[in-house]
Formats: sequence, structure tokens, C-alpha cells
Amino acid sequence: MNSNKNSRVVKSARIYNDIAVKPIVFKNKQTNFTLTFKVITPKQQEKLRNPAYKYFSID
Amino acid sequence: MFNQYYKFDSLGNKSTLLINPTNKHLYRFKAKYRDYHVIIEFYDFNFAAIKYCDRKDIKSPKTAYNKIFNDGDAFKVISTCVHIMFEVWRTHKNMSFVFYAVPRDNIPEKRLLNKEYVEDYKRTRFNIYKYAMLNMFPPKNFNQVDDYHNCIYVLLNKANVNKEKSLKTLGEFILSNHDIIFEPQ
Repeated sequence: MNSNKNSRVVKSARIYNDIAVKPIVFKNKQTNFTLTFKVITPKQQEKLRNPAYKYFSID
Repeated sequence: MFNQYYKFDSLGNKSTLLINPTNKHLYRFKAKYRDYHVIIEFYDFNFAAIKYCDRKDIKSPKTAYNKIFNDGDAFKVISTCVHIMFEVWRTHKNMSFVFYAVPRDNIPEKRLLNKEYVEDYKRTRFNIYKYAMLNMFPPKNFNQVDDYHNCIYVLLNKANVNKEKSLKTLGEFILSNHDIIFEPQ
């Protein structure tokens, strides 16, 4: 794992199981490359999916 | 759409002798007109990255992952990769997943001025893969996380007690290696 002193977490948020969270933003100061992770909540997932599909299960 | 898939074989696990990815697991399946290789890369922060390509392109990473074949079986090929992810999840119950959906190029010239069309066209792969993840991987077990702009998708396993730390490590890893991931040599 490379450690990169030029990268930093700009914004961070806790991820809860069923609660919407703020985006998590990572930015490389040298290259200006930015990552923005957004969490899709279970409620949003239900809206976006086709209920005809059955989820995978390992239970 | 994702119920039908090709039969796949495991070709085994191999250590990379690197810090990351630590291991690679190779799968193979025979599609309608070509053979595909699926590579699962394991990272020490509890993530597996999934990649797939035509078997003939396995040694040309610069072009292997952005090809589109008009074989008429795209959904069955994608579905096979999704079922391979399920297989990995079954054997690594705490594993989270990540993939990069290479944006499409060769945007039709007459549509270049339509920004909305261009953005959707570039992310065709990303949108299909995202649809597969949302439909097949349950919210009971995974947080679904995406970066639409960079076409990165993360399935964060809820069984991982350090999932926030893992996600942070993944973000830092991508930042420090983004030239490898986005412009492979």
C-alpha cells in the first residue's frame, strides 16, 4: 500500500446501515483528481431495482 | 436479464508477490463467440476488484477492458461476471467489491452537442453494472456506493466490522494509483 502525503480525505461521514450519509470526498492535491463516493440507501435501492429479480443469498 | 449466465470454471488462485493486490483468482467461461477471462484481484484491506476481458486480450491491459463486441450476448456475459462475484462472496463472506466501468468513447458526432446524451453514452457500462448490483446484491448484506463521475462502483460488505476504514483505504489507494487504474500501461 502506497502512502500518499498529497492525498487527503476532504469530507468524511459515518456510514450507517439504513441512514443516508453525506458523500465522502478524496482529493489528490497534486493532480486535482477527486473521488466522490455516494452511498445509495436501501430505500433508494428498492426504488431503483426491478422487484422481479431475486437477491443473491448466502444464508 | 441477470438470471441466465454461462457456466464458468475456476483456473485457480495465484499470489502476486506484491503488497496490493496480494492475490489474483482467475475464472474462465466460454461465451457465444469468444472465451472470457475474469480476474478477481484481492487487496489486503478486504476488497476484491473484478475485471473481465476477451481471453486474447489478457496481456494488453491498455485496450483489454474498453472493447465492445456486438456478439448479442452482452447481458449474459455481464450476468456471468455477477455470478462469479456471488461465488467469491460465498467463499469470502466479509469481502467487499469494487470495479471500474471503463467509459465508452467514439461518441456519435451528430450527438456531441447533447451533453445529457454524451454523459449517458459514456457511462453505458457503468449504468448496466450498477443496475446488476442493485438487483442482485441485497441491502441486508451490502452498502452500495458509487462515484458516477469516475465510473467507480463499490459494494461495501456489512459483515466487515472495519468497513469505513476499508472504504477510506480504498479511496486513498485509488488516489495514489489512479494513473494505473485509469490509464493502464
